[in-house]
Amino acid sequence: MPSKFTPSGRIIVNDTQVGNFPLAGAKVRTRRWFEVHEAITGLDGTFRASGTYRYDFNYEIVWERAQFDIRSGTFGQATMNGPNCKCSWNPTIQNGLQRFYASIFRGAHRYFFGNIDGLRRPMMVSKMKISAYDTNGESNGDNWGDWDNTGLTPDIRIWRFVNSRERGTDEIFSTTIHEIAHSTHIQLMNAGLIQFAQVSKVIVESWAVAVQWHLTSMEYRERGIFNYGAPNYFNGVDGFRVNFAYQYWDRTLNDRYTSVFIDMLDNFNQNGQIFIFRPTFAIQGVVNDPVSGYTISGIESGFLKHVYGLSSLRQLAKANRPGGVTDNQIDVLIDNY
Amino acid sequence: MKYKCLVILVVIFQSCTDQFSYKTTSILGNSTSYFVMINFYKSGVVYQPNTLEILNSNSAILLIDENDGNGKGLVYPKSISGFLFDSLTIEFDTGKKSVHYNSGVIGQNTYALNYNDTRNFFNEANWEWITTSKKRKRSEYEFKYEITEQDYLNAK
Repeated sequence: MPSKFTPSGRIIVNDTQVGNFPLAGAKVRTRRWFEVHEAITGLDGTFRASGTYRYDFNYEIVWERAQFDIRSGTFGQATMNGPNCKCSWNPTIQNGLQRFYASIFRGAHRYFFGNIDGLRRPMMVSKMKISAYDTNGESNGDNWGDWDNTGLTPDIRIWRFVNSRERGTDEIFSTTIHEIAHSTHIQLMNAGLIQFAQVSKVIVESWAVAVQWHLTSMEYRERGIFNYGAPNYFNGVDGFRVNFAYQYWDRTLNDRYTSVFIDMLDNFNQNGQIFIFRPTFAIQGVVNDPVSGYTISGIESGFLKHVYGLSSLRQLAKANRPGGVTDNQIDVLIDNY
Repeated sequence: MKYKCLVILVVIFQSCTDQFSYKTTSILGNSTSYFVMINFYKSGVVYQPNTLEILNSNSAILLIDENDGNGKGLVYPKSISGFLFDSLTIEFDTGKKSVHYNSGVIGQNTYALNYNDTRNFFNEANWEWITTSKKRKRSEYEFKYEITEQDYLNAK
């Protein structure tokens, strides 16, 4: 009788900004007929299944965890097929559709399990369904809300391409964070969706932009880009709102996706600062931001649930202001929006 | 009861986050019969990277911004605001040209177009917004500055 073999290996993933690194938290499933064993990759990307096989078996990565699920389009489960063998498996997800799934997975995994600087983790009624579309999107992503307890419809949708350009892995990662931030914002409100529906779009989107900026910056600074998301960082994509810490924003650009929460967190006043995108493209900052010292988890746990618009934000920011910040400075900042 | 259900459904669907997106294309048009060159100046020196050239009866895309939200997004005059140009010249291949001053600039050229002039290139208010496509959740715009025969006639 052939000897027993324990499935094992290591998963490496590519990132458009930092190159290759181990993929943590991924679910690897092995199967031979009705025998199935699973393993989760560790921080170093390695995995080792709980069971053994005497004959060839099949590997696959199932892009899901108990709390969230990535779909290949609207309904199917996203997976990556591996070899059928009695061997170890050490794939490198270098590009293409699987790297797109991996980038969404990394964003969701961080939000559910990783360091999120004290922010609230998503608590879904049903498993979070993230639909990943291998197509051009008119939008980067959207959030339909966790109102379907059957888990049939997706909660979140994310597109791989925009205007036929494949979006960078950091963009995909940050869109995932942005959309999950909407989910946690919905849960934060007292009566969920009904209450959330009354929150103005400027608060809804600006909050998600701030969480997106904060967590994506954490992720990439940990991976070695020490100024990622700083006012002097540009990843080469014009409309990516993490670039330059979104300090180039002004009212004419977009009246919903603003930098207001970022400006409460950072200690950078962009008024008059120059943000150089390339030799033919540079924007002068116009927002006067004398405010700093808030923390993202402090805003979320302290008063976000009572913020419905800019006036309540102004009022609550004053009521919860950090030391050294004056009411007048808060007025100066909020008047920009 | 029917109405209660309807209200709840409406609230649920209203609750979905912003799925609006936009695409804004900044365009320079030249409807004259002359080749045109635009030079940008800072402290009297031409800033070469931004020099624009456009053939007669032609148009050129200067910038495309496509993103989530309701726009209208990044437009060309905004995208050069960081260079703090003093002025620009619109020069026709016959040698005629017009001078445009940027915001806050008071120059000595009496023929120059001040920032508040209705033909000043730097002033976004003088560019035309054209909605090229409007769907329920998607808007597409052109943001256009057209150099006209009248501009040629007014040039010195």
